[in-house]
Amino acid sequence: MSEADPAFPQESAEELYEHAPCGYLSLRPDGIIVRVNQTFLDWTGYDRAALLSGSRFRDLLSMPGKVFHDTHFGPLLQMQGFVREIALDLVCPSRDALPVLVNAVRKSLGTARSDLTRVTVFDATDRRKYEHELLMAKRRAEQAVELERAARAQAEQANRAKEEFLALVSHELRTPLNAILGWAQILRETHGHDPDLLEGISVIERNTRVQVQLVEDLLDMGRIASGKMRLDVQRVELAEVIEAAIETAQPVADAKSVRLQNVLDPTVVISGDPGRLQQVFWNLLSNAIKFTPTGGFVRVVMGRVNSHIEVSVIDSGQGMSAEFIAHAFDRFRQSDSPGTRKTAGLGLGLAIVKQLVEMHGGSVRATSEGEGLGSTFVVQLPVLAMSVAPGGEERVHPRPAVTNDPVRVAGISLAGLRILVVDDERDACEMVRRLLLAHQAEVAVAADVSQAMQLIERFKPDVLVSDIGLPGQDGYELIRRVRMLGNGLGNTKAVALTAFARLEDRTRAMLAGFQMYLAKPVEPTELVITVASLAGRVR
Amino acid sequence: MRRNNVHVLGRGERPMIFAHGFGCDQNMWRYVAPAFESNYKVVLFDHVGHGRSDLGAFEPAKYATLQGYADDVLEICSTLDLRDAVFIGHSVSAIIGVLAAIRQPERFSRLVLVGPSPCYLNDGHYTGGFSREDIERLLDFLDSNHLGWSNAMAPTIMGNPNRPELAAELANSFCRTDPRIASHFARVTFLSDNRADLAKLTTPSLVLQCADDVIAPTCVGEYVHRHLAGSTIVYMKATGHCPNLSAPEETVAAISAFLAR
Repeated sequence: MSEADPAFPQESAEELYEHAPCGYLSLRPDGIIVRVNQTFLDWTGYDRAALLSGSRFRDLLSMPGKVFHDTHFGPLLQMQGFVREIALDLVCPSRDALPVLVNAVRKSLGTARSDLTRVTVFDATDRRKYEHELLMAKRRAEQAVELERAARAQAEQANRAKEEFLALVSHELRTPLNAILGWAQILRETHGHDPDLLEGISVIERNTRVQVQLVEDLLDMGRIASGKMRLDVQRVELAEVIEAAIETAQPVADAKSVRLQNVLDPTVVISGDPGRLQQVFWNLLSNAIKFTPTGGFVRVVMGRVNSHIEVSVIDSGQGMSAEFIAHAFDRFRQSDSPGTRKTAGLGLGLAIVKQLVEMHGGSVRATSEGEGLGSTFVVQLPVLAMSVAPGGEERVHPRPAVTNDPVRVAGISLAGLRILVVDDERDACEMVRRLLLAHQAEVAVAADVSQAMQLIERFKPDVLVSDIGLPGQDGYELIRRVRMLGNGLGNTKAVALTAFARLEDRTRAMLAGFQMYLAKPVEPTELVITVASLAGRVR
Repeated sequence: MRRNNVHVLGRGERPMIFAHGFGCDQNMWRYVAPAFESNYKVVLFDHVGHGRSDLGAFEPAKYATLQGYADDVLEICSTLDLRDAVFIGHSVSAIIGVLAAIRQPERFSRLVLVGPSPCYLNDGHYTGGFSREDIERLLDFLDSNHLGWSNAMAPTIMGNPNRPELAAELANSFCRTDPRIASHFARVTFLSDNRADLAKLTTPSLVLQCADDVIAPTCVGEYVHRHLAGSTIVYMKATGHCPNLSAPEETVAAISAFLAR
């Protein structure tokens, strides 16, 4: 608005200055107050004449205000020519300290000595109160976070102690059972003629075996929880493993007149620990038999679904409610409530199944049409990712496998492929190197990430085979750095090798940039096939 | 070097290290350092958490005492292979310099301590200038300002028609500091007590004492002078805590006179 509205009386600049709704001060470069408005005097109770007789702005501040003025306000004003929203406290003759918010700007009047600083002062009483509350709330929140972190650490510590105790107790429980079983057998042989004694020995043996199984489950659970479970991974014909499990479960099923049926595919080969896989299916079978009434059936069905093998264990038992299914794989969980238990056990079996299957890179799920309608447990396992096809040269000139080379995988040539092996464990590295050399590959080895990076630039490998656990930077870091390389090297095919075989480790390796993932100890056939497959030598 | 945003200027051989105090960064020396560039190798840096230092390098445990900052100074000396340096420390950095020179005396030939205080708290017969309650109020007060810190202390670029040469510098923003680190640094500074260290210093030193310094009062400067063997004290006409800004000529003259001796 350039023209004043005639309906309103014209205010003088003087009036506007003196009675503006904020305090105004003008200061010399040394901080001496040379002008002040009435509002400031009204708020603070200072006398104009007193202020203008050589007082400095800084003299009006509380002690903390003076410190802040000298360390921040003054330096900033001098160096950048202005300050904004500085919180200060004014000491007032007639009242408590007044919290204010101060803006200031330096106005040059020609020379530095004649610079003038204009200061506006806003009453910040309420604002300071809110800020204080905010500050307190922030501190309380930080304290709460700290407390929670401490509580969580304590809980984790307690949990570890519990797991260790469990492992120890299980181990101690197992030792006397061996003696009981051993002596029961000796007694059977030496006193087998007394029918009463024989009956007694049978009861002791049967119950001891049950006890042994419970302790084994506890031990397994402890190993899994403490990360000490290791898989002895090899090439596994899955049907064989399942048949062995069925065989073990057969006597229990027979005793209960439960029929065991199966539909298995003998051609399915996966990579896994046969003992642990047998344990998985034995657990599922005995679980199914346990909850199936006399005259019922348990069926094992195997099939391929996409790149996975699915094995379903189906029973005609009591079934499960939806809410139990949600917790079926939790530890110490059984479908009977403790007061009405019809079946024995600790409820560890399914928890172990889940962990073991996941260590194999698979998954397990439970379904049921409802109570009384039977249950189905489905185990999904990754199948070996490719089938071997003979290379072109091999097809034209078939040669027998080199029999004096135990690690030679028949039918696969890696000739002309450059492969970089990264592993700090010398023996493991050498084993892989020799295996690849035996298949005519050109092999370079590195023991850490920096060596590997240099070799990648120089050697330009077709395939990178890297351990995850390396000194300093790990295999994840290596593949991330490789993927950032230009000139085509960023696309180098890569396989991760690791002793960590959990699902999340696989996922992490894939996310980091590896195409394939193999669990240690590496099965030679699998490694050669995997490398060949990545290099496009198999289809 | 990147951690402390180190700058090396000047045409001289003998090193002169400038260390900023509480509340700002190496900009604090803009009116003083140029006076020494013709005869010295001038080294400027920001303490971690301040200015353009690497905020990610801040570790609460390392910087829980002033020794953590002193160790950074020694690392800078070692990286640049500085010997017989003149160390000029303002405010809390005066004591940081004392701690560094105690640990590696061969790095330093002279210390200039601008407004030093070995202990801000009053303690028995010792007057540091602050009661325990003052310090608590001060730290609370600083926290209040740190709440809106980034706003107030990292101003947007603003044209200054009268000082166009400032505009470019404004883009860098003055006295940038992370509010959490600023709050931490304030606590470490105002709760520090390095009185016992003074007697261990063997390097000749100059105490520059301002008039009416609320942070390091005259009696504190005199305490430092009394307890530092072979020290000199100069009472300046400048008032406040930052003579390097408010009275650069007087500051330069006092330092030059001390170094000429």
